[in-house]
Amino acid sequence: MALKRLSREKREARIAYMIIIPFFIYIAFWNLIPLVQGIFYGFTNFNALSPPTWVGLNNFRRFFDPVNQYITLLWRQIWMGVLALSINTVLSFFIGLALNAKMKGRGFFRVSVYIPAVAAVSVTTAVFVSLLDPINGGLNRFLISVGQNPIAWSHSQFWMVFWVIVFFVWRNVGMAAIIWLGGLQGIDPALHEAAQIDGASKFQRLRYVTLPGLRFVAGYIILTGIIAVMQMFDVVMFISAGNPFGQTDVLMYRIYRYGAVHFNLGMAGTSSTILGALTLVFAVIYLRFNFKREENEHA
Amino acid sequence: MKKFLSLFGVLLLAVVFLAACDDDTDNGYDDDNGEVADASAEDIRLVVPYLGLTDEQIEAAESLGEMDTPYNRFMYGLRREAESAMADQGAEVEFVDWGWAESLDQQQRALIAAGDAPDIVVGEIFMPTYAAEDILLPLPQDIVDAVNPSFLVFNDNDQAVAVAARASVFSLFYNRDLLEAAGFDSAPTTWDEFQMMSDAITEAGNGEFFGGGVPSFPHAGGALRATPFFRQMGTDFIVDGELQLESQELIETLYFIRAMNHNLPLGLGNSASEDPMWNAFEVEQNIAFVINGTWQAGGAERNDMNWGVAPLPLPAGGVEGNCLVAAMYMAVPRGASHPELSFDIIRLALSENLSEIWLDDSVPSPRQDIIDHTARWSDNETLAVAIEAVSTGEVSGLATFPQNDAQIWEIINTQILARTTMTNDPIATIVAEASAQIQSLLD
Repeated sequence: MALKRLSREKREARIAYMIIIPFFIYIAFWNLIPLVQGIFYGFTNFNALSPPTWVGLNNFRRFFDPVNQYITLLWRQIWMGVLALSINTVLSFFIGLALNAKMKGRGFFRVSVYIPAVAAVSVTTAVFVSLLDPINGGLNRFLISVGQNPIAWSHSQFWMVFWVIVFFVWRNVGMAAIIWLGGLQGIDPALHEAAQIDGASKFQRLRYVTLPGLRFVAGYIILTGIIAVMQMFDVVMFISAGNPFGQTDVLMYRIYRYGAVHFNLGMAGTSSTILGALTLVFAVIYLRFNFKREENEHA
Repeated sequence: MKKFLSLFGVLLLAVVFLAACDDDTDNGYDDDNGEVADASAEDIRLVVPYLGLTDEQIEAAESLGEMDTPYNRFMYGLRREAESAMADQGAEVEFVDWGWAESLDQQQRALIAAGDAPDIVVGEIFMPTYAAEDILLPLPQDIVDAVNPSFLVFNDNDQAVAVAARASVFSLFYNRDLLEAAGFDSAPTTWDEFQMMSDAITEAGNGEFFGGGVPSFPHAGGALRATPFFRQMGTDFIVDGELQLESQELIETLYFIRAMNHNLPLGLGNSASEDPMWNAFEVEQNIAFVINGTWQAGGAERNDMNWGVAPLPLPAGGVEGNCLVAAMYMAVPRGASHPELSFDIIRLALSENLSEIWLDDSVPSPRQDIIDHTARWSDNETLAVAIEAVSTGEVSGLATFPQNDAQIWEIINTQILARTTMTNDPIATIVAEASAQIQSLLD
């Protein structure tokens, strides 16, 4: 009986493997091979014109040498990412709450906040960049019209980081808000009703009913957010291009340039290996922290 | 599960193996003596980027009514002649549009790395890197002899390996009306005059118009326009393999660039995009001076400017100096399938009837016989200034660093040139910080 059940399981497993094996091959071809290749290049000098030459750990030593600024760019990637992710997570939560409220035009509001997520980054950043043009940009024209001096936005690290984060949040907040909304709608209304009957205030219901009910959704948003901000480069590329004079450059943007523009594939491989490992560490730390908290609460 | 993992492992290894397999193509070309072993094989198909026009480009140019521009006349003429000449030799040629600059470099390098190099490689600032990597075949002597040496790129063995179908140099273009508004009637000839006149025009303009300066765009467009000024001071970013970043001449030039930037509207001289600068000069006409290639003459004409052109002003005790720009270098990579046919296409691009088309765009032709024939260009003031500059045979493009060239230029563009005009940081500090990074890339 046990054998029969086992062989049926095996049969089912085989069918399952048959179904997923094309996807495994696809992933191996398009993801695994480049991943292994990228790690390999990290130990070489390779400019795509002559064959790679093995340099051992030289590229890793170069990475950690402060003069080359990789650590500076990594640190900037992290703090800009943390800033962008924190603002995005909090703001999207409140937008999610607002989207969940019963009001007229709710559908229009929901669509509006999601549109930036589906608009092409290259197009929307072009609009941003034209607004920031020091001479003909809309923002400076506005400042001049109200009697203020124009600002050379692109000369200031503060302003360029500010606009990069504004754009990142503008683009991503709608998607996160929709996920929050899904989570909010998944909470049993009976819990809110019971809390209300027990005399809980709105804030207490938010604190003790809504937030615990959104733990899984929060985990998803933050985890995917960590991965997204550690890979953030397109927004930087289109809005500031790392300017002024490299002050808004981040590691992922340098990896892109080294890999696809400058053909320093060795350092691109080294940097992506380190950045990838670090992202994994952050994700694992977050997951362990999240699971541990859940275990403690269930205990 | 074990079976599955084994199967998956085998598949993965197979894919890795297939991907890693080198395409050991034999192009039938003896690299040492330049002989073609067999160019008569059937189904010869040459792939040529950038040169010629694709069907889509022709369609686009026709719809815009731009087929008569010198550029399109050259490109279309080359396509027709190359197709005809190749057909006579039993070959087909496919002209492909892979863009220009980085996108062209990316596509070409990807194919070279995959062992499937295009039959001709084209490019500008990255061509010296290709030459330094010794991936280009030496040019046949007849091609070398036909052109001015300024239009050639040499490898480390001093063999000419790439030739520009066209190239320009920088001149000083000016708006006569704005000069007159500030009481000037001729272009400056020295840096001091340039700065004095530009300051005076900016002051006279009172925010309505400006004198203009030396661009410090945070990309190659800035480096190209600043380089002539360094060379006039007898220096460059690298000379004879030695970094010159902290040389007194280079620092003085950077101070001059910074001082001149005050005569440009806020953010214009170091903008990420060059277009606002040219727009301000030829459309809005509120900048008196710009440093640009000879094609600027066409823009000024199209916008009915009252304009003039002059050689770049010189510093006190300086020397003539310029930088080749908009060079459309052509070369045959070592992996080309039929190198002799590729060289034939390059010969066509350098033919007299096609090459002289560039003169109509005020752009110098590479052919020495055209340069020597002064009657063909002396009545064009812009062209005359440019041809006089290139005729020495000593004008070159941007300096090339022995390794990590593109990364080093990025540091120069953003952290030296742009920072010079975006901040008031001491120039010595700026170059010292950049120098440390660059030195590390050269080690």
